[in-house]
Amino acid sequence: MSVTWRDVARKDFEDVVRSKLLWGITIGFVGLLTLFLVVGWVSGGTNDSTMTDLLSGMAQFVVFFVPLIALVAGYMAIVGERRSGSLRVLLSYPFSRSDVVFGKAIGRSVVVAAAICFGFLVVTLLGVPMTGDLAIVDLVLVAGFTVMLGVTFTALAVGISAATSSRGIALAWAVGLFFLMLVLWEALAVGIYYLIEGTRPGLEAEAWYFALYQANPLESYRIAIGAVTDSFVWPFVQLGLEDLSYAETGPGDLQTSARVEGEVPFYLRPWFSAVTFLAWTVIPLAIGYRRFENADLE
Amino acid sequence: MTAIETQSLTKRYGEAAAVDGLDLVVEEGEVFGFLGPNGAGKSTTINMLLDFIRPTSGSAVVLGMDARAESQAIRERIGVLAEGLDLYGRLTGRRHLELALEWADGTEPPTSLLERVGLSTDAAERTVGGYSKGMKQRLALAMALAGDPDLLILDEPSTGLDPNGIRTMRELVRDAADDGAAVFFSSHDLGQVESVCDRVGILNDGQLVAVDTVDGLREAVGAHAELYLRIADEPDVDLQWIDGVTEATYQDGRLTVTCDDPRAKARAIGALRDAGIEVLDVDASSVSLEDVFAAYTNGDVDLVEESGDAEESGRLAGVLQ
Repeated sequence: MSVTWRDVARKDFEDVVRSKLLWGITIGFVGLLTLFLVVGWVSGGTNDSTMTDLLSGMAQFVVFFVPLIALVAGYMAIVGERRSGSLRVLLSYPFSRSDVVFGKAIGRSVVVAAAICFGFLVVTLLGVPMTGDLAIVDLVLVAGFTVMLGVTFTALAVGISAATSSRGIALAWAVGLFFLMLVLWEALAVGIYYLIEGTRPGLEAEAWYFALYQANPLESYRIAIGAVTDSFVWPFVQLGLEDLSYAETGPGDLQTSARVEGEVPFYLRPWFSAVTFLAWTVIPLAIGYRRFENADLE
Repeated sequence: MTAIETQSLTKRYGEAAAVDGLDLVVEEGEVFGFLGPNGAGKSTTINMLLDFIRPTSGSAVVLGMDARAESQAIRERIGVLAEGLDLYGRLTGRRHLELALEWADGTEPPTSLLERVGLSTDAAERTVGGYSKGMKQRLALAMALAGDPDLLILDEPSTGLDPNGIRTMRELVRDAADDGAAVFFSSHDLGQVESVCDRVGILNDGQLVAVDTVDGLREAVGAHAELYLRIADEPDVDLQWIDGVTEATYQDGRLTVTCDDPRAKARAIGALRDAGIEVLDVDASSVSLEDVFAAYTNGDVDLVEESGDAEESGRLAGVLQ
């Protein structure tokens, strides 16, 4: 019987699940969610709101915390072992390098998914009595999309970890990409739009602009949750570079389907988020694997 | 079938060659010492055998399989103690062994491996994060032994080990060899290689300087061994009749005995003892690796006098115990 990626995944799960840093961030995430729910309840804001509203509001936190947890869980997965020397022990057994990359990606994804499920359990336990509403379908869909987001960012982080040869470079990539997606994406999309169209995107804009916008898995997630909960999920950071007034525009008008002229193309439909997630899972892992496979492990 | 065979194995980093045209053969069942100073290219060679790094040119065959194309199949049959290794700080010692046994298809109980490397079962229940360097090295050695490998590759195995640990490690190497495994053992310590190996390859600057049996090595480097003895008065014993002693001179409380056979040093001490002369202190010339290279390249060995700690100077240690 030969060893496989499953052995790597299992070892890695055992190891990472004991990481204090990861537990710290997960507890911070769940703690903030709880605070958010309790404050909302005490201030009476949730008295007449439903579980669905709660989930929609939560998504705004999720786009910050879930990628953070996933990146922390993943960015050291391979480069950390490579620098410390434990990779030399692992690779002295009959593992292939692809076993290491995919085993790590799966082991760490399971940890991240478990942390997310823990968070949703807390939300359910607190949210149901507060709103008196279960909304089981919405809950499962939102939890499912959130797990997908978590897995996507874990794969991205493991891909970075496989592709780089030093911890510092891996950290720089992880932080840089996170910052780009969380804060700068709007500037990037609006900038490109301006270069091509000569104007800033208004309330109505070309379809390709929204496609570009949603190529960011965080935006993709936001839009998917918006579709599930039939609401407008506010972004974590809003630079306000688009040529429209958020104060004067109702949330309903801000949904992508309302902003595209004519028929909504397939790639702007909510299910397309799954394709975005898949691309951000597969491409970084493939690049990471290729670089790792050809690397000299000093 | 040979355990290891390399052909013109070369690894370059830019202009500099870390390993330069290495041709090496390690037979099955032998303990081969790979001797050289730090930076000579020992680890680079081992890393190429394990497919951790890829040769610039040349090839290596391990247990009859190509080190590049058939690395996984090779690693199913070898045990490795890599240089600069680290373990999983959050897992216990026992868990490490269980994983190693699983991965290496080993059937022996973890407890027997613990015993062999001298780790207590108490220590095995603790997480490895709290282990000393020596304990980690012992555990890694146990992990390398898991699954009864046909070839053990040990890169500087004595790193971090105390003298007891080094003795354990030597015994384990001999046991493995007695069971028919080949052992490829790298070290920068002459005494270690000498005490455990059948044959020795000497590497310097990425090139193989010589391959010799341990007896041949002893002869080459022991040609002009010197023994320094502190004695209160000039002894009235003639040491020159002793087999292997070429000269004995006394000056200022110190007797210098020159030998052309390292074993003669013990005989000289024995002769003094028999004559009832109290030896206050013993020092011996130690042979540095540079001397070894010189011995093989110029046929001449220069001696450096160093304090002879009984634990460290392999040859004398055995005699004085």
